[in-house]
Amino acid sequence: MVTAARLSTDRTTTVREVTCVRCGCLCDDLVVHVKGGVATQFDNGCALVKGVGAAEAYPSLADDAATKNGPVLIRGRPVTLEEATDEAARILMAADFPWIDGIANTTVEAQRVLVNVARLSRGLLSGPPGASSFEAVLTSGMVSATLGEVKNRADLVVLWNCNPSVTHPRHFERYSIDAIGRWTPNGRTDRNVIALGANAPHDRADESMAIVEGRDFEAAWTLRAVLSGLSLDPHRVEQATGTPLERWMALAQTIRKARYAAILHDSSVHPLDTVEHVTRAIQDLVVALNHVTACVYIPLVGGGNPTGAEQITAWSTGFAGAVDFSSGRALPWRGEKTPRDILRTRCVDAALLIASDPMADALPDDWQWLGHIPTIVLSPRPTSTSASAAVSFRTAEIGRSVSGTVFRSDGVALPLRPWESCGHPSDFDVLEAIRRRMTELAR
Amino acid sequence: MTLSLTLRSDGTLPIDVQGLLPERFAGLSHDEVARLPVRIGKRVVDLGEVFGISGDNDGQSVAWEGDLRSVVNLGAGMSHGAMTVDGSVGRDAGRGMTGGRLEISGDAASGAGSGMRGGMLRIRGDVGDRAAAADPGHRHGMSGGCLLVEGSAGIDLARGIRRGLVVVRGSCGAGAMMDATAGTVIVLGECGPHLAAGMRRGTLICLGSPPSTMMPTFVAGRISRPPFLSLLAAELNRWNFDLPPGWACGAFRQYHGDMLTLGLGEVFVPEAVESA
Repeated sequence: MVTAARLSTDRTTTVREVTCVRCGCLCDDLVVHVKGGVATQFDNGCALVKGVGAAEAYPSLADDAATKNGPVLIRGRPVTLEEATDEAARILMAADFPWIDGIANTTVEAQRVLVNVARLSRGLLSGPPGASSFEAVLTSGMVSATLGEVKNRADLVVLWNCNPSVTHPRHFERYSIDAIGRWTPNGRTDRNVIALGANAPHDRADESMAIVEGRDFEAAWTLRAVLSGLSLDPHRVEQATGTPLERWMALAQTIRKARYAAILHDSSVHPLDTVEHVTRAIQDLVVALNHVTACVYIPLVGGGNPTGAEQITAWSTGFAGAVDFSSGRALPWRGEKTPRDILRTRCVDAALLIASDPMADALPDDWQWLGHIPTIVLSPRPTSTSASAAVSFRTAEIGRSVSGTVFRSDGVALPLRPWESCGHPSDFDVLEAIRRRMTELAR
Repeated sequence: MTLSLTLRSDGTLPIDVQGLLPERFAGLSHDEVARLPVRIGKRVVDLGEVFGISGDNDGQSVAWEGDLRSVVNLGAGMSHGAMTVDGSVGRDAGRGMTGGRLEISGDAASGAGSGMRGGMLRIRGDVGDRAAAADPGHRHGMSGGCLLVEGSAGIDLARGIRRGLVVVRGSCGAGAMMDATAGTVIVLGECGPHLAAGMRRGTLICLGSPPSTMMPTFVAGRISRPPFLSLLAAELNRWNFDLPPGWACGAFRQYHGDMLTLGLGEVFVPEAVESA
């Protein structure tokens, strides 16, 4: 894996086609001006990058204490990379049930190695955030498309209780509402935009409809029933969704007229226990819509590489969510869903965390317990978890100092171009060294 | 004449006891039972290392004792005999049972009775998510047998149920009897949202309160006093599962659905509660 050592010169250089991993858009048209190895200006950056200022968005790596102590530590003591990978491999091999978390925070190359590390250590590999919504795909399948297809074809965009202008600031400009496409040459004026629910930006929409909080499932179910021509009781429809039946019928008529509809949905706005239900209901709706017009479901995923994590775990284990390797083969994990649940039940005895900081929002008892089990942390900057880790690696930050591949929310693979030098190894380099050492220990 | 297994470990790692069933213990001495494998995480140990063994082994009945919340797959795949659990148990208890009787005096975590095909699973406390539901990647959940829960149930109760009977004395979370193909579910307490969505066939009886939101794709039918309820009540009484007196004689509003699928399912709601 290539890190950005070549950029550490004093003259100003311009790095083009940089891929940003701040949100699921994965904009790959950033231009970064670098002087002395530090970014001085971002062109094409969104509010997530430019709005807070380059210094806040990408704080300097030279100022923190951990860098001064050394990039690789065993219980706070600086060591060589070989010593640390050996210790990490021994911890993982000795543990009865190690926990591997943070697969969404790294490149697909590192994710592939991480799955092998989980397999060798026979541990629990946590899925990416939002993996429970992927379970909906097992039930209903998913009719989707690339964002390029949405840009070029969609003349109707439905914002289902989501606000990409906040969570994915350049989504409208690059892919959905405002984008100029081959069959949408006039951009916004060629598109009809419908905002559904309280979270959607109603000021950007041609049509708005309210959904009672927590009734997204009933809303999708009702709209599907209306499109299917079912005769519904108006009183019960309004009771269930908070919107009169006539509004749903009008909305169905609008959708029927569309040549190509795209439904944008952000599953992170729903409670964890019903997110799979809601996602499944919307996907069923999309399937039903394809009987009357072309329609696709576009998930809005978070930053990092969660789609890559889903793809990698799916093709290498058969399951897209959390995977349990303790029996010697990959099985879907049906136990604790979140890091907080795992800390609460204490069902693991070691941890390998990739840019993951479960201590940050843990309860005091759980926080102390995690400090007592051997923990290996790979992180570009110090965290509360890395401070108490048995083995701590400072690694190059994805989207900043390391090359590799990430997957956009629509499954399109994009390359990362490093623009700043840090001198730290990549996640891939560290994990591959740990994997090799584990293989030797297993013999 | 019961083989007693008492958990001595106070660890929190999952202890997988899959396959430790009455038929597996049949004809074995205590020493042989102690040498049976148990998996703690990836480490396989002898059963005798983590469980104390006492009582007579008749190959028919087993009693599990101690703090069993970290024990998973207890009774999974059970086909005959009887097992009792004194206390609460971890996830996937009674998963894929085909026969026999498993009684849990405390709570059961998620996945209890998932994919059951027969037998009786009785839980005196609460049960977690996906009880009697389909396993991940499977279309159908429980396809036979009986699950009785004295407490409350989590989300996705009997999701994808195909046959069998589920009775919950308390309330249940979202998605009860979703995607059901058939089967019978009775909930004495309050039901969560997304009730019976996608139901093709089957019967759901909501006794304690009306569904907080009946799906609009269910069609309100007639009010009746279904005669099969008294037969069901008699059967439940035979299993010492007491129901409120006179419940089977009340008037129920029948809803038909889910009209987005086959539409042959039925949900019964007490008429007095429904109109309140």
